[in-house]
Amino acid sequence: MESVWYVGGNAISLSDPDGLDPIASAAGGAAMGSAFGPVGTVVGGVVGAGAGAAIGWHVIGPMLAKPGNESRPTDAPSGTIPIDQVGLGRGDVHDIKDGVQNGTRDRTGIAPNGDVITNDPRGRAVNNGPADSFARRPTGLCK
Amino acid sequence: MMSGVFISMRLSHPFADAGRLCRNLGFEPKREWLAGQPKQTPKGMVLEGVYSSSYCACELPLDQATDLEEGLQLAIEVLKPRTDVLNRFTQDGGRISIFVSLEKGVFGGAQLTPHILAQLAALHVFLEIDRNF
Repeated sequence: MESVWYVGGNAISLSDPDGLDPIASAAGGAAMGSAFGPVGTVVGGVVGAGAGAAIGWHVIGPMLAKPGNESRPTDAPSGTIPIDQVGLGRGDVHDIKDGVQNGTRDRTGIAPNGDVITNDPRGRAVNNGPADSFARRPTGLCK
Repeated sequence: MMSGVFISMRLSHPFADAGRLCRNLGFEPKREWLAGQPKQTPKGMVLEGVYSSSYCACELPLDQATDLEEGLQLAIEVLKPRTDVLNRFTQDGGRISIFVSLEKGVFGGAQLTPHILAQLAALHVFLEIDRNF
């Protein structure tokens, strides 16, 4: 295959398998359009950018969206951080997750006052009470 | 004693008493609730809402295990004699899982044999591995 099909002759550098990058798509379109002359370059670029954006927004984006419980709830208390970043031992994290029935893909956070924050299926914050309620020893997080 | 590995069993069901099954299996729940019960912390602090399903989490007697593979095999040995009860629970809409947490910087890796995986499958048990390195 002739290198004219790829900008710079390098297909790999322009790869956009997810279709999320309109610039790469535009470049790809332009490269293909170039086969038909300068006008083809412009038209190909515009069409490629539009196709890339549309595919990314409507097809790939929803496919990559995380389940509700995995995303950070938008209404979580300000300053809530992931449970793995508050300095707890893994055994305590395990006990807390057991205590709130949170699985491997569910978001578990700790609010500034030490409360355990999880998501409901609609992505809203759920306050499960103080982390000390679930751990075997005081966590030092609860105020 | 397993280093950097924490294992528990979780039972959940849309309506059946998961804690009761746990006790019938010979394990003491460390956390349990029933479907429709008002939410509360283990220390009794009332929370907003009610539980939509029944749930129970319990420790398994895995003191002899030294690594994840041994821990899982021991868990299987403990559960295998009750396969019928466990399968009935899952066929009725329940879910049983072995929940594993791996500690950062301590857990070195594991190789789960087809034999272990086949036994978990026969028990209809999920394997949840929580790794947050």
